[in-house]
Amino acid sequence: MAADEITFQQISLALNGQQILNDVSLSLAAQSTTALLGRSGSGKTTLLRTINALVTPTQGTVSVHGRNVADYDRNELRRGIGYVIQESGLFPHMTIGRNVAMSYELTGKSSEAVQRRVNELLGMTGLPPQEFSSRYPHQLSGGQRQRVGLARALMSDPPILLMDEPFGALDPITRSEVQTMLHELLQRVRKTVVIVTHDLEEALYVADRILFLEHGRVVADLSSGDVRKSQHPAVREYVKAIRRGAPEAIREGTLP
Amino acid sequence: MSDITAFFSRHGWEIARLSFEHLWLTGSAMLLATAVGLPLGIVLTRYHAWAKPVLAVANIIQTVPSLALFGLLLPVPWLGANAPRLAILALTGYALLPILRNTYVGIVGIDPSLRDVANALGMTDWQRLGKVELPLAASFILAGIRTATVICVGVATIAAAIGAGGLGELIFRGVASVDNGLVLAGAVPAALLALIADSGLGALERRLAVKAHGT
Repeated sequence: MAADEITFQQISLALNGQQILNDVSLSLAAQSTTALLGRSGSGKTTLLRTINALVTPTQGTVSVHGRNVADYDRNELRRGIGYVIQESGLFPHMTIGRNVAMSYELTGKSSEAVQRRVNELLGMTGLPPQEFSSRYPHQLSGGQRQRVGLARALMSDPPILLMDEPFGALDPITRSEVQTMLHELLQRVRKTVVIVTHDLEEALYVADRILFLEHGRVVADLSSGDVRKSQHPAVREYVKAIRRGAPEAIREGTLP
Repeated sequence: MSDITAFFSRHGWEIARLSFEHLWLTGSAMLLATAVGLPLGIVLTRYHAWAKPVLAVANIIQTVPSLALFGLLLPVPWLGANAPRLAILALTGYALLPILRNTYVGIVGIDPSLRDVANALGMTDWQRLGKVELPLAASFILAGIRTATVICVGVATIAAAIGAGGLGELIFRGVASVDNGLVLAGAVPAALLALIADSGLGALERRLAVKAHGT
């Protein structure tokens, strides 16, 4: 259980005189799903990116599986961490199949194993492989591309999955479809998931722990069940933002 | 009509030979310029601080009038001893900037999130270059090579002034003897060479262009 933990020890990051992260210390349990919630510029994406060493903090240490990130071979570390971003980040010159298979291609696994795994993952993310494998990213809708991005991140079955506003660019209906798919998928493949979002509803739906960030600090650390009860002003603001415009009955949960 | 037939029977072989020379000068210069410009452009994307000064030097080379550059290089030992050699090197200098600049800008201009994803997937620097950066920048780099080729075909006509041969020989002779037929006999094939190179490389460029996400 403890083997898959991610730990931040007093990490800070200053860039051009601006404090992006400010003394963040916490640990994330293995196979938990944690949401980093905050406004633009709160440091949530930067915090996420310290985990796979895309960003190096100016102070403090980040540990993955109990080992300092700085002590890893960078590529070895990153190959064990799935990464999903907004707008999917699919390579536009490669087919969907090759995009998904990329982590296998990099480590030179046999083609038969690759094909089987690609088909399995496309199936799991709701994209029939025979239909999608040979298409190119520009031939897919935003929601389909995001599913492919998720399949690619899961290809090498990494124990950790990082998601940076994965559904931010999708329309509300597509977003909810992909969220449902992710939710069900995470029940089946247990991963340590860290998801960056600015949408509290999304955080409540997929995560079991929610960290609220402001100005590079974690200002509230709550289990998703406690969010609605919290009196913390930053949390209240988010809860209010959801409730605005929602009919009373839905707010109180008396309607299905 | 019989004039044209007579003209070609007199100059046909010469035009063919000089076209071939022209092609040889341009082709060699382009190969050399690509062999230098492409790797150098890639290196610059890894050492951004060098990009500005190196591109500035390439820019300066290109602004030197071609006749002056040929003249200036003439007294250089080894180089000046062989006119085609000198011409090829000078042409290489002219072709360098478009190739260098387009390689650099083409790679630097790639969507940074794709570079991020490549890194996050655990790609080594070489893997990122070969699998992501070069394929995505390919059509842009090729556009630079195309521009350079067209410049080279044009500038190569000046090489005749230092005795390096090529279609410029007909043009210079035509100008000296006030013979428009001879001028055209050099200019038309040179223009055709440029057009053929332009459209051929343009077609290749379109094939290599990568479709962006339709959003």
